[in-house]
Amino acid sequence: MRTLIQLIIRNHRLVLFVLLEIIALSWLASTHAHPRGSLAKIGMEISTSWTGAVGRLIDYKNLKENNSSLLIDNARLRTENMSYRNLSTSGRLFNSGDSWTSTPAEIIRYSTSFKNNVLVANQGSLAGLQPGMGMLENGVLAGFITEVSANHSLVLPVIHLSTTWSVRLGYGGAIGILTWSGESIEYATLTDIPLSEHILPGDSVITSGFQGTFPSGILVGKVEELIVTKADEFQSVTIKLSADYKRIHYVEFLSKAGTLEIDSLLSTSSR
Amino acid sequence: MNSLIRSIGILILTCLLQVLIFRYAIFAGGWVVICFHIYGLILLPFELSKTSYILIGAVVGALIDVVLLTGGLHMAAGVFTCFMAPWLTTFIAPREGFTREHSISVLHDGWGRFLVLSSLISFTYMFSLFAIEGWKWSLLPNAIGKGIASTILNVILFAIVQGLFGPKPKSNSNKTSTYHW
Repeated sequence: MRTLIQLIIRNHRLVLFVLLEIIALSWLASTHAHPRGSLAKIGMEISTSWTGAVGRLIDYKNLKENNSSLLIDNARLRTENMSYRNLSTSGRLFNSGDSWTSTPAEIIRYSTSFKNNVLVANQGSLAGLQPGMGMLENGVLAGFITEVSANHSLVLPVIHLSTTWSVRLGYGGAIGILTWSGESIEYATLTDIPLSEHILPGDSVITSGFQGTFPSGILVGKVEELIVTKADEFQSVTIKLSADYKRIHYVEFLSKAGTLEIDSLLSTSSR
Repeated sequence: MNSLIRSIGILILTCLLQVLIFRYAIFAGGWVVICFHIYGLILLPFELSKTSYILIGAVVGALIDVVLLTGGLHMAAGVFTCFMAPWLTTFIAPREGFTREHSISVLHDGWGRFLVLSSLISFTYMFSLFAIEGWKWSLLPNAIGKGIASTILNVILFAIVQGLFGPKPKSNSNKTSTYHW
């Protein structure tokens, strides 16, 4: 024991280095590089207050107001559109009582140049936002909320290495998993598509609706090219994302009545 | 002690500038990123113990992580860089070594030494940052490329700042003229 203590004392710098690296890497790993918890909220508040101040300096007041009112109108129309779609599909496909509502918000901080990008929106729990809600940018899939404070939300976009998305090729096509490779912010990869699936460049990729974050049929992107390995039973597809992360600003968050009920059912079944 | 307080002051200032201004300095699709707080780490005096150096790197990295929401990325890079920094310093040390209170500057050590140390420390930091961020062997060449590109811009920035705000030579001219006029 004494020898061990002497060894630690003799190499205390190396021990400290290893210890601090373990702390840093576990911080990174425990959050999958996207921050959570009270520390993240404090950081988000500091960060957003500064970004908000900078934003106020450079924003044109009238343009901002016009955009906001347009966004609110857009959100209202999209909600109406979704409820009409539910009415038309509920009769022939399933008896769905689901009603999606959308909440407009503004992205006040974003990163697109890292491997694990995050976005911060200027609406939080006071506006009814909750972790797990999906985010649309100009009507297409863009991300989902991972953390909310009173006035801000932290969003994980598709261009984040640790996110996966359940999507479908067209309205009747196969379901696959969409992931981002960390290369270009314009492209993502769709995997687990059977070789029998006939795919052409330009085909639409839409949400499957199975994640519960988005309704089915929300546009995700278009097929760019196929990656087929002869040894593999599945094919991969490069998708050109429809969300424009370089210009993302005004967004909408989707929520569905009954999500809590489904979540409680899922948690019961997992017990 | 005086140089230590001055260096800590510079480090705090560089961290503030990084958080408030240079956080937006991301160019070429993320290939070139400015981390201005590295300048504060470079200017830390050589009298600091290696343990203190590692602790300072950890604290600075953690603070940047909390504000920039990077979840331990800067802390890991900061700790690694500060662990390596004393060893990197030996590359540029003169034969007789540095004096204890010495802090690197163009005035006392010349542009050559300043640029070499800045490049080594910047590359160590940027490479470890990108490598940890990618966390895949396949993205390692990417991390090296990004590290080199970011190091070049960071070192240019550090050189400009050192030229503008670094220690200046004291004027030797006498205020009293030997001539009557």
